[in-house]
Amino acid sequence: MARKKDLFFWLTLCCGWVILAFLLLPLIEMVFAPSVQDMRVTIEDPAVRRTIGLSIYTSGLAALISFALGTPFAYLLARRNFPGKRLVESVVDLPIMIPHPVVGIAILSLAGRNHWLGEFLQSLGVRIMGSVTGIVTVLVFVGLPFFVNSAKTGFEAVPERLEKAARTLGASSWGAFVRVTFPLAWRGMLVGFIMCMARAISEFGAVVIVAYHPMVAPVMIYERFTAFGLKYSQPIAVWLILVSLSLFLLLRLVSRGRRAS
Amino acid sequence: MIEIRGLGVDLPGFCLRDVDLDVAQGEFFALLGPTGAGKSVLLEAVAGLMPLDRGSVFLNGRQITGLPPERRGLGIVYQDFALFPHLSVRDNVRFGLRYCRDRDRAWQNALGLVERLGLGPLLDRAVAGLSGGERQRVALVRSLAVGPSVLLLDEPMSALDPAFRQDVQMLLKDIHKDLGLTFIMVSHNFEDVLFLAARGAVIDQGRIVQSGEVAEIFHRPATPFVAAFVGMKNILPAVCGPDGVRVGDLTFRTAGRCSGPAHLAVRPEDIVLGREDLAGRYANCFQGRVRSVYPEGLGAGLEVLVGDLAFRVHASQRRVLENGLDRGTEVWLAFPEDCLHIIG
Repeated sequence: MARKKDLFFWLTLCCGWVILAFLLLPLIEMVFAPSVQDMRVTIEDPAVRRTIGLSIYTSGLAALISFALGTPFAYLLARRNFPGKRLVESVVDLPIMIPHPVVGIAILSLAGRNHWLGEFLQSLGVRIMGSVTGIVTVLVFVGLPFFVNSAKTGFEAVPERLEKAARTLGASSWGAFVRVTFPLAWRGMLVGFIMCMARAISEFGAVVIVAYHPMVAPVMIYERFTAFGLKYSQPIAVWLILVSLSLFLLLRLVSRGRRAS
Repeated sequence: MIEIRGLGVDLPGFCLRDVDLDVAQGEFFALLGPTGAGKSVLLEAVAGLMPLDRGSVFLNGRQITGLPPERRGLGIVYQDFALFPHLSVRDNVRFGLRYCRDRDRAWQNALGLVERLGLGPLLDRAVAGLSGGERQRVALVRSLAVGPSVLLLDEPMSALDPAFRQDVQMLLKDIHKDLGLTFIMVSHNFEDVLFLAARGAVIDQGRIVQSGEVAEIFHRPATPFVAAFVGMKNILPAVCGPDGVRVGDLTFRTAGRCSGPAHLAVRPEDIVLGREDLAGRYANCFQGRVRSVYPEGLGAGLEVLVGDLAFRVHASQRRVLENGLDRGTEVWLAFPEDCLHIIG
């Protein structure tokens, strides 16, 4: 006879159902709210297509920059112990905790005319306020912790002994990283890349301060919502979800394919 | 030839101090010591995988202290073998060949070793599916393939099924003999070392406490620690006098001369055990009482009290049964003179 489940089991199960319903119901409601006609009309609008394209482009670029800068740094954090390491790790996590508009304000205050850095950037012709550069800068700021933490976990899972063995076989530290550590830790980096991009594509608060225009999808959704109401903002939101979901699915599939080979 | 001079490594909670060692070309050298003594740290320090805080390492007269590990020409086989899990056996073996000058020749040599160690059928297998013994052989070939002048072995037997111990011992001995390389093996097991190595050093708490011929270490341990490590389970504080060595109320006649405070050490298997007085046959003969009998290998261990001194004695199971040795049995212990070791 099957053992009778106790009260605690039912409690855990109930909480699970409540959470799933809480997360899924609003999304399902929103995804099925617009008609096919609404969806078609929306995507035929060149401004919407441009906006979604810009969202993907800027968040992808932010993830690539995070990958390039974050990989060596994540490796350092995974392999070395140094005084103040905890503090450095907390600094990396800082963007997750700061309110998003504050991130935008902080970056603007550095990039403005009143700051030597802002002046220097302007002398180079780099504009942060209201530019794609500004959007990417903000997205790297908010997405970097996700990449660094995930890549670091990936590196920590590779035993250091494997690198040591590679060194005694003739590989330099770079060679050991490229031929041993990277192939074993790339999954952690891919997960970090996806998380970073996902975080960047959903950013609104910081972007809206730094660059209302050119418009990324979350800003356009907000603009349509305030100007025309819920009905007009929903289809763009659904398109953004569909495009990002298929992108992330594709990345996952590619990673699985590589693993199988 | 490897010369280690004044080597020191400081790690959190542990340090390796003033290590001086000489390992001759083609020698099988053993680094012995209990777990946590610093043997593996020393091995990694020699290989360049652990930065030195003090001292220097010379290989064939050339200072290699500042060289990165890939330029030292020292191979290492780790306890857990450290095979690359994303590569096949073949690619593991070939890993280091791209850094060799004559790759084709190195690969031919490696293939010879692959065949000799019976790894031919495994070349295209993934590392994950290999047994412990197979992994070890792959790790050996991988290290030897790049032609190191010294091979460092970190506890080569400890991760293996005890049933394969002898096979691995034979294999290592043969490879060492045939290739003529210098082998430095780390081990906490004296039996392995007795069979394989000619010379060795015992490390305790980051210091070398004795080095020299393995047989010498075995027969003449320099400190009570080394004596315990090489299986002398009876180590008693003693005072040497003109009439012999006094341990508690007992006086022992020994072959060697000594004076002042010392330790008397004797192996459990060297003590002769009998139910009758053995005084007619042995010089040092004392009556005692069995305090406990416990299993020890295929035989039995006995703890025998002589006065208030406890001795550990080894006996065969047959002897224990035939003599009805049990707790409380009166017995005679004899200590042959040449089996008593005085540690100054």
